[in-house]
Amino acid sequence: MTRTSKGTRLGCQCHGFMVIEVMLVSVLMGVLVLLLSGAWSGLGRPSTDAAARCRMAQEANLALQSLACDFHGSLAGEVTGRKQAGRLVGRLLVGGSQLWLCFDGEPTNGVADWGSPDTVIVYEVQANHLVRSDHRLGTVFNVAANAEQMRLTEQGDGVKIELTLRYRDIARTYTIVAKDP
Amino acid sequence: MRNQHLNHSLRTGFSLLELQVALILFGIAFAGLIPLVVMQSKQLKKIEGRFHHQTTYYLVPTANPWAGKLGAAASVTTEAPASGAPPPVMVIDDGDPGYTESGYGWSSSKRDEAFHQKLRKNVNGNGSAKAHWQFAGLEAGWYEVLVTWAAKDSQASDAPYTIYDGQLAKGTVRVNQTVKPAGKSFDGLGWKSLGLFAIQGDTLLVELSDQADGMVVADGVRIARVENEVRVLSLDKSLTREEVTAHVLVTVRVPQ
Repeated sequence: MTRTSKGTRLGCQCHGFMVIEVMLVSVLMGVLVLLLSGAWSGLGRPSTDAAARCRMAQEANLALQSLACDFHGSLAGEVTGRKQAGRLVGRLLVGGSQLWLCFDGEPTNGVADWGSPDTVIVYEVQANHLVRSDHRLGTVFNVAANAEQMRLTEQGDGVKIELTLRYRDIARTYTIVAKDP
Repeated sequence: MRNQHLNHSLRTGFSLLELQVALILFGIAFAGLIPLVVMQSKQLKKIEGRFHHQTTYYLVPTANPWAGKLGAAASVTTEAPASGAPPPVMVIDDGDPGYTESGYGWSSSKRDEAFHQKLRKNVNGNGSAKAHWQFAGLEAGWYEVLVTWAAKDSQASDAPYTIYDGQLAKGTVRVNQTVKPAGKSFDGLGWKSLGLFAIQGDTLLVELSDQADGMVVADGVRIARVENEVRVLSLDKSLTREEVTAHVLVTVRVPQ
């Protein structure tokens, strides 16, 4: 037996819903959506934001450590030879976005030759990565991911490096002032 | 059969108990997020504390070149480092800061073959007239002292230069100023080496006296730090030990 034209449920109680049931379910669904949205904004969103900020801070740390090694005044990894070998002897800011470092090679002459036998290291942002290129060896390393831009400013006795990282909709600009050795 | 059909047909929605159970399950799942958020928040605080985007960080190299050579990184600080002391002056001409005279009789002269085309001169005397070149702010160590002058026949053949470590005389060397200084060449001029001198303090003073057999000429004095050459042949590092073993070759250049 089907539902009568008056909406009674005589003879069959399992087909369709009553208006009151639909309303009740709607109210409960509304409450559930409110709870979920509250939970997301209270915990889910901060959680994803924290993950993004963690990621950027880690990448920025990697960039900082790499710059700290090169700005100590000697070419990282070239630990053999005289102390003059591998010493930082020149620095160039190209276009405000490329950092060129020149390390003295054997035989050392104490000046930046920007070519053999010196080693030239270049920091720049390429395809959302901060890369460190070794022009002598031809190697390129990704120093930090999620890099949006690197802005360089000459400061006389050093260089100011403003590295902007972006992950999803969060951007952070980290400021490093590297003093010349 | 009839009862089953009746029970089935009576289930029109969910009971309050079922709703409560569902909410409790939701709460448990929701609470599961809390440790994750707490962990991430702590991790974030730790990492951002190390390198925060609202703070300016300074990379400061140490003054020891060997530290950089052997792989140390620049120190990271949040305070702007004080400007380092300017490098010490290693060449002093007559008339430059660091050059002084005592006694009477000093006069200027211009000659093309002099350092910067000028010099100071004095007739020979009893040693009361002196010229001084003072190099300050030096690191202790061995220094080679070199002097230059414009040669002339009428000048002293035994002009006495005395080298002092602060107040302590380290020795006197007499030079023949009638002939051009021979030895190393700087700025297109010959420079005669007076020798190597060990300096314990931070000041090296060169003094020229007029106690000679002719006119004495005070011109340029240059000093150069002399060090043994150390070449690192290999470096042994271990993840389990803090010590680093370096195998080096030392070429001795200073008196031992």
